[in-house]
Amino acid sequence: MKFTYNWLKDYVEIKLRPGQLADKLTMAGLEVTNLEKAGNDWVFDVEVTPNRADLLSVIGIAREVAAITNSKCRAYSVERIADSKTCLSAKRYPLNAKTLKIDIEDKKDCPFYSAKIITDVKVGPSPSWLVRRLELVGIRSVNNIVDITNYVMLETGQPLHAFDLDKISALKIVVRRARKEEQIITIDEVKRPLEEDILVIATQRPIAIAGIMGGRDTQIEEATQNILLEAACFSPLVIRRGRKLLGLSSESSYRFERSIDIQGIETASWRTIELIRKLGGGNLVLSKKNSTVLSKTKSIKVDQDDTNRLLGETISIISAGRILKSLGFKVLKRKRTLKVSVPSFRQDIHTSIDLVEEIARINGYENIPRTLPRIKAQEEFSLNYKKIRKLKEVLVGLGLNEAVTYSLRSTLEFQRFGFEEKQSLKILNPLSNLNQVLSPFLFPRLLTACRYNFNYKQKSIGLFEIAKVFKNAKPPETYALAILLSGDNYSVLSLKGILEVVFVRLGIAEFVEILPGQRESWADLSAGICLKTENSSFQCGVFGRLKKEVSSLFSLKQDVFIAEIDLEEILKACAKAVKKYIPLSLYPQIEQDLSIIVKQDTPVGSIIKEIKELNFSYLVDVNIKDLYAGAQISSGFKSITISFVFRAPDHTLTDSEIEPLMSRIIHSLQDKFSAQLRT
Amino acid sequence: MAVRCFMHSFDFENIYQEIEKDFQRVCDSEDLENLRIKYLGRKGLLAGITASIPNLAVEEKPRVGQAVNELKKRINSKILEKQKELPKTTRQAKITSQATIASGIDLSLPGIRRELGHLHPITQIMDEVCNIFINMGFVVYDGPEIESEYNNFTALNIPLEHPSRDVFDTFYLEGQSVKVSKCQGAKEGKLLLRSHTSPAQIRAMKTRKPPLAVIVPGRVYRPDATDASHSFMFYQIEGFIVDTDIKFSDLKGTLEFFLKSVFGRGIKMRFRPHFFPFTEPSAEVDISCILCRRNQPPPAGNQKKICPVCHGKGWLEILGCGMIHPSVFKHVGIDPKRYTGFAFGMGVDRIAMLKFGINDIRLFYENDLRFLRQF
Repeated sequence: MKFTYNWLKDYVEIKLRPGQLADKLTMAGLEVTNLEKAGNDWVFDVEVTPNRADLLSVIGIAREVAAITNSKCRAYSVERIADSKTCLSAKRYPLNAKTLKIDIEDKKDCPFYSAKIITDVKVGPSPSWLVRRLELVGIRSVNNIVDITNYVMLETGQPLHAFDLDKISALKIVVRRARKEEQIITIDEVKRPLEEDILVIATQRPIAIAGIMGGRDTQIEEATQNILLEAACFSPLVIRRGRKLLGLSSESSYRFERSIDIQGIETASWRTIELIRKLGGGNLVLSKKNSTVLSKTKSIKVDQDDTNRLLGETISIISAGRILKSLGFKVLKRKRTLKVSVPSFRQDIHTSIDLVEEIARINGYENIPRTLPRIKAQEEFSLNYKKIRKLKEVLVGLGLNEAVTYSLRSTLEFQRFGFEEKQSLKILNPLSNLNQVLSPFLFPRLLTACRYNFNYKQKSIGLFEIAKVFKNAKPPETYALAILLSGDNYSVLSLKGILEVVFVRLGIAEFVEILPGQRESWADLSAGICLKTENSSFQCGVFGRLKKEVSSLFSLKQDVFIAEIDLEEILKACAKAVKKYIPLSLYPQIEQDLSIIVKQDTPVGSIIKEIKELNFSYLVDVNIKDLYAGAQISSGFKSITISFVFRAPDHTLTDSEIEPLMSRIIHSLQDKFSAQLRT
Repeated sequence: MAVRCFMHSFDFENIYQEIEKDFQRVCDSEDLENLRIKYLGRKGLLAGITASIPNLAVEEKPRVGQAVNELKKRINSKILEKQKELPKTTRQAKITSQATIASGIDLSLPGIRRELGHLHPITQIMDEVCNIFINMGFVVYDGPEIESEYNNFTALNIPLEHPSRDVFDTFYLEGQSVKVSKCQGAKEGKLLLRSHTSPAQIRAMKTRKPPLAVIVPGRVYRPDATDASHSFMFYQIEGFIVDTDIKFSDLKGTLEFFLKSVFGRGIKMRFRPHFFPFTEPSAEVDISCILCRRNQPPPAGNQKKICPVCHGKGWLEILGCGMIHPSVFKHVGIDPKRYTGFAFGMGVDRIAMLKFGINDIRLFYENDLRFLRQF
């Protein structure tokens, strides 16, 4: 909302310089976003919050200024407008109150409608002071009549509309919803189809979109002689819906949406008449309204102790009363309580808490002291935040960089990975193709980041992200972890190694099983990550190498290794992780190596598994020391050197104890894998 | 001094021995150049001897002349010899390499590093912010990103079809709805992507009775066209306290403690009255500009040097806050007569941009490694 310093001074005495006034307004909640000098005047631009419709007017701001600066607002009332009731002269125009009919289809849409008719007006350019004031606040001058309606709207906050009376075909104003297939050309020369949700002012056909914009055919022009002036109240909801349906907003709709002061309508209307007669002459021949406005005054009690308890400062009941009075409230003091009547223009005030804010605001937030609350100890809601933070720390420690990618993606990306349409959560109102769908996986997002970095000549890329993923399922959102490795020095086993360390660090290594051979549509080499519970094992993730077909979609030439893990179950498993001390053995350990030759296609993992399943209590560690295929080994075979660590908790092991164990291992490997001893 | 001595005696054998010694001490090209100047330079030894030839006895002249030529040749060949020998190193490297040779290890080589990765700057700021509140006794609550219209709006006292909704443009989910017991119309049950972290207030207050001191970090979504300062996804942190005796002054004290912890003790803070449907009284909080450190707008008209951070205003809007509105308490079944509370919310991206001097929000979501590795 824009206004000027001099305009404001018409209604309130101001001793402050414009800059000081701007500061005061900002600190009272009417933020001045811009202040500019314009000749001998200053233009203020203020941000009016949606609750304060009363501040969308110069008079409203003058009231606020009066309260802040302790001076008086000289707002006018109907009585003070000299012209008001006395100027009606029904002469020379074949009209009387009965000739004009106002027909309101639904009082909910339009609780109040007033019309005034002025005859023999001289339409022409506005005087320069008027043109200038409107210009300063960003409104183009049209002609004196239109300018006056705009001026009074800015002054009072009440939108007004003037029709050319002679272009209205019948003297019957109907306020109704538009009918199907009706249309109107608005004053901006645009033909607009109307809908049943849109409220119109009509005679036989719509002549204006109520509260939003007038029609071209009945607008005020040079030749206009007789005028019908509308001042009304329309339902904020209806105006809002109409504005949205039409995609058309105006100064008028903006004010109606925030709801106007129904008690001020007639004042604004009379003020308009006063100015029209002053600047365009003419005779007021008729004034008519559909109903009288009932004045219902809200009364609210506000208690000194409650106020001070909530604010944590001491404001006396007398100061509180003075502040409220200065804002236009009527105040009755009873001991430590104020009985406050709310003026009709303050539609934002409903309960005592609203008054507490008014008191605090005008008294100045800067006067409220600073204290610290006593916060009581509480249990955690969930450990997820801490666990995820720890996980991030581990991943960063392993050399990976944390990525943050948009959860909303394009449908195209979605389709590239062959995700099922059914499982997708789509956005009803996407802004562009970049935010059409919520992504069900993280790794495609990391792939985009990977390509971006290769384009910037990065040689080695290690990224991870922990974020929610979304599926049309229950629950619709779950935490996931994705890791992407690509470029120098990375292999699929580096990825596996990272995962192994992660599981150890989370304390859940014993629950996790990695099962090679898992098929994934995007991978040519992959393994499943399974989480074992007491009696079952289910897959919670997968890792592998991206298929060439897929990486080429992202124009990636390098091998890309990816892991995607559902974190929900992992986080739950973390809760089960217990750290427990195993006493350190006092006795020495014995290390033994064993070299065997097996068929090339024997998975080393199954050999280790086989050995571990023998369950020797003295065998504390099994490792692969060497893996070799080539010269000296027949083709189709490989040599494996396994190192064993034996130790007993309670005595020094002897060779005679270990030999039988080693020979059982050898037997078992010969049995299962046709292993030959390498000598 | 030595030169002058030579000039008088012209003991060429002695001179040559001196030269030999000098060249032995040469360690690098700098030393060598110094020697060249000492002997062959414009004011060097040989130039001095040559200059004295006219004053010599006639019989001395050819002998000295010859000797000077001989000396010149020898010195030149010495220089060439040394040049080949010298490694192309500076004096500093020479010292290091002496130490190196002593232990057999070249400590001038770069260390063998295990590079750590980098936490995203947003995570780092969220940590910083959350930890300040955790230290004060707040606990973290993690609310969902898909929310009901009821939690995102209605329960927060934001009526449907009201202008106060206009600042909360929201992404809705296609064909998704839930039944909400307290809803007033079918529309209430629509699912959306939360446009602020405030709905987590509703969830937390429904889950647990006061006293509560809760902090909610997380992603939020708004259909804003992307540019340097707007993103359709960004991060917020919400915090709130509910107890029997929570005052507006507590809100001021808590936020001042927080802001000084994040931006330094030197900053100033101001509370400006504002409007949020879910708090009353409400305020916006500004801090004095962290770049230009002024907290007064420039005298109007004098806008030559406009601070790029605060645009000459002197203040930076940093968060919104207020006392929890009684009608929010009613929605979650907390008695507003018995309990009061405050709530605040802030944009993490904005704080990160201010603290790190980042001027484009899109950098956070591009994941350029050159960017990530800076933090």
